[in-house]
Amino acid sequence: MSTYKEIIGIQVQSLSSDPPSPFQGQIWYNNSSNTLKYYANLSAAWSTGGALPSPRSRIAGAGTQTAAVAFGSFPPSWIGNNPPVKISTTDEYDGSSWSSSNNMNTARQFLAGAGTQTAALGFGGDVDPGSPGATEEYDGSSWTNGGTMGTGRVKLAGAGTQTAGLGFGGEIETNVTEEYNGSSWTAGGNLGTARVSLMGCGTQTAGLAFGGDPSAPTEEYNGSSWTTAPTLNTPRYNGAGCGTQTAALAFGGYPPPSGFVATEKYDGSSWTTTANLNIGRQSLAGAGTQPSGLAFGGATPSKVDATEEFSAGGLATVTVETD
Amino acid sequence: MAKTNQYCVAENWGKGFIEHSESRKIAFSGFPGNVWKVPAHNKEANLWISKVLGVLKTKDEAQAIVDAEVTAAQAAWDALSDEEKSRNPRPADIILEE
Repeated sequence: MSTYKEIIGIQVQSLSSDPPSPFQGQIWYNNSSNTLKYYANLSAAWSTGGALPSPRSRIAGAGTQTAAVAFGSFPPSWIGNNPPVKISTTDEYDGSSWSSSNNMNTARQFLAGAGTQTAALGFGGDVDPGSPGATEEYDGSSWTNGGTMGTGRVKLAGAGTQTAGLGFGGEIETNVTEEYNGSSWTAGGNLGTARVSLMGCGTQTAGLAFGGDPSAPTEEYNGSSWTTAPTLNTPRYNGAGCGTQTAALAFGGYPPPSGFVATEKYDGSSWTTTANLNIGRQSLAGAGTQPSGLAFGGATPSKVDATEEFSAGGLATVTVETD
Repeated sequence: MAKTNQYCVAENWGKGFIEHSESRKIAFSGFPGNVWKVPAHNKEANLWISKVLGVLKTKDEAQAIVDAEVTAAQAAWDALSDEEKSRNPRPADIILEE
């Protein structure tokens, strides 16, 4: 039987601190912490994060895994409301817990979001009363009204920033794309395939549209037109996404059971399946990047307050657990 | 036949409830009603159930909890207007595995 030294080339070292540049497969004993450690290529995984203050679905979000904002949605309890009440609640995430912020001016569900926690954009959605094209800008504290979309719609997708936003698709099976400049919306190039309940990410000049109803190919936007790219391996709608055009993450969606939990990453040319969500759901929201994504809210079908944090894994130091 | 999965009820308290390191070792599935499915006869899964103070349930008991949540969601959907119904599909039944 081969020894560790024969395979790796060195003996297991006893060190007072972790090596600054370990190599994959290296094992060492840290004699300061009295722990055995190794450097390994970890797989991707979702962990639970802090729960939203209340269960919500049909929600939108923006920001990063450690600085996100959630806004709008379907309320926690809606039996007897016909039509249901939309809500304007806004909450901020700091990487471990959510705290309440000031409400949107217009309550809505099935809206889209873009930007960051301190410069977010909320637009479109099912509002009652009001225009489905209403746009609002968040400064990290409060919302102010922005320019109204030319084509107001529900169940659309968003990308970009507060001053360079992108809205595309939506009800009723539209292919309309619009670009926001911080004050007004102007027409962009139409999606190749009209769809609702799609997901999106990226920027105004490098956007990505994926999933949706009816099932359709992924499309990439260059600031003026869309080009077709491969379809998700698990076609779905009402999911969430985050990241960029060349490093995107898609997670959750309908139909169950596969659509609820499926997570896929996009590298600019193809989608690859990665670790499932622990809590399958649809009508959730997403934020963050491909290696550090954030999923929150949604319906299982019960509305949930659950947050999950994605780690793409990769090389990391691991401490060997002993009984 | 030895069972493949085990079920428990545990309230998701948020950060730390499922760690990345646990998610890499255990196939978790969360269901309505705070029902969790994890592998049976699995040391890591048993340790996690102990950590979260999970209350073990038989598959039938877990199914009943999930059914109650789904039935409530379906009833709420049935009460919606046709316009609202067209916006989201009726919640589907969830069948737990052995």
